[in-house]
Amino acid sequence: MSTQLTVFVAVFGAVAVMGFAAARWRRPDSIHTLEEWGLGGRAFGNWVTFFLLSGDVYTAYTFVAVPTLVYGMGAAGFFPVPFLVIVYPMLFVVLARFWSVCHVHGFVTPAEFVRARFGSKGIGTAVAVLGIVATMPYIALQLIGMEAVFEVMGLPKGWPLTLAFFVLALYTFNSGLRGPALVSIVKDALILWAVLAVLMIVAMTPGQWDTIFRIAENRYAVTPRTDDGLLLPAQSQLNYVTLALGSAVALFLYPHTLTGVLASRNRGTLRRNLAVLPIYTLTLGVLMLVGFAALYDGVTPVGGNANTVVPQWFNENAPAWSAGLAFAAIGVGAMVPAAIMSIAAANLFTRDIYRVYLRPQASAREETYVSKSVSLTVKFGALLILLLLNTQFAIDLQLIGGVVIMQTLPAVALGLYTNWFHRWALGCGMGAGLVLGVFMLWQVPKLGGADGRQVIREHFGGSAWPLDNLGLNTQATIYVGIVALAVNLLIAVAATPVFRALDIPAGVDLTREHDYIADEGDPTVRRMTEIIDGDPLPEEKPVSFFTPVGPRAQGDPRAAPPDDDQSRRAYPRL
Amino acid sequence: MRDRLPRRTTLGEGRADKSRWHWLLLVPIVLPLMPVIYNRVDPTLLGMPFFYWCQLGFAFLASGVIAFVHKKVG
Repeated sequence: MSTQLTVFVAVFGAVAVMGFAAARWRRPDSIHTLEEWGLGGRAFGNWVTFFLLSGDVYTAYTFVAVPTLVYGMGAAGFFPVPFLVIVYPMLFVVLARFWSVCHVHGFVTPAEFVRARFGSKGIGTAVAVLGIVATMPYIALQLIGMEAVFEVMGLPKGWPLTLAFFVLALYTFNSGLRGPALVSIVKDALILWAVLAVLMIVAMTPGQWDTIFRIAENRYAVTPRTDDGLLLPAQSQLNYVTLALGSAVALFLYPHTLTGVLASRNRGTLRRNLAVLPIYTLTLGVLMLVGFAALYDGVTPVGGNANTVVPQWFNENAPAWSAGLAFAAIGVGAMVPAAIMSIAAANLFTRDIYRVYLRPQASAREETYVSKSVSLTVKFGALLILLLLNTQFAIDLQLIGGVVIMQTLPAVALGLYTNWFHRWALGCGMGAGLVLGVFMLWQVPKLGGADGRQVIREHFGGSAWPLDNLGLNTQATIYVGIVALAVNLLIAVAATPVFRALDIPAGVDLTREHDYIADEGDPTVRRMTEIIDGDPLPEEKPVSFFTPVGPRAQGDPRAAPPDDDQSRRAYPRL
Repeated sequence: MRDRLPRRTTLGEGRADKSRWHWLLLVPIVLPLMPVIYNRVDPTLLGMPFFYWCQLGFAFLASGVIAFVHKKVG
């Protein structure tokens, strides 16, 4: 066994143990509620929230695929940096309101919020379904990141990935959100080490960044492609900007981000974290520059898998043990978001499909059980997509997923500010955005070849839609998601007065303005201890030993009544 | 029928968490979306073209502005 593999296995083993032990961390009386399993008790403080959110946002796939983009195209692949900078000021405005309304009403998912805000079961379900559809391929992408590492270590395809995911699935099932929260601390330490390793290796390179960039520039200059280079070519700028903006919008709407957000203790925790998280983007920035360093060192991808560039660079340039740590960073970096994503998708299913359509009377315990099972199903679904179908398919699905999730913006994000939209108009806008978005993606050909102009595949070749489809004489492209979202918004705005004029009843808004600014300590926000310790004891209910009607106060949890989850009483069933 | 309709709130109307300081957040959103500003090589920093270090620098800007607004809004 090589040193790299030994280090990797050791770290991975330690992480697995931590993942299981996490169930005992700040142990609640009962983990059998969605508040506990799916949101870690909603009690994470500054530090844990930081690790959780950073583990959630900066995924293994980002660390592997983005430097690969930079390696191939230079500047155009750098868009995640502006994306992960602008997203935080945007989140700062909306997230605190989202946190508050969800805590007041006990929502676990964005779809529940939409259902209550616009009084529409249909829109809520649509948001839930779109969330699940967008999240599944995202989980598969995490596996792709891990696969690249396994490939560099010379492991076969198939069983190592299955084994790693089996471990992940089990600890998520067991510990819920506490698992990834604890593991993400290890992930961040490893990523930090990888970043330091990059900086030290570059510092030891003769000529340092100067030489690296010069070599990269020469390399882009000799390729026949016109869309690469150290700077953005004119035709790439629109796509660069719209892609950064679109990705930032999508990030807020992905259910897993919101799950991480809801687990924080109060509004202040959230806002402080949003002030610090942009700095974390620097780690991604440094790892992206590995793409250039790989050009300098003449790294070539292993086995034709372009995603192996970063791990291969570490393999060739770092000491074996350090390369092992970098591999572990990617491996563990895949497990954290994959776990959170599967929990988020599972919560969506449980709260917005199972409880709405299948079992409205489901108890908190039953809900948790359903969520746990769904989280397993979702993960193995992702694994199957990857093993049975292929990598490219997962990437295509994720591309569509990003465009799909953006269409929930009017309902989820604007919904935090206004209930002006008519529910039917929201539905029409969402539908139009989806149809248009998928159609435009279908239109985009996959280009390749030496000059990047030959059509390799006719359809679903990327998200950069050529403007010459409109008859414009230009090479410029635009990100599909932004166009689809613009159409979605236009229709939602235009159709609202129409539906109102037709006297089609609008939904009933169950939230009040005060719900959006309530913070920890506000009487409407249920205190954590209340949720963790279970119901505050009912005031001296007469207990008859002959007709056992009430719950036995601290007894067997199974004896609790079906509605033992505080949060679920907050709003009437819809 | 009309009476049963919920009160509609429109954007910006009577929100308690409204603050002018929030407009400041537009700076770190808009600047990184203007390649005109940073799509150049010079001045370089440690051999890194402006394109790269400027965009990384925006991270500090965003962090600073968010922290400032957080203090002001409270």
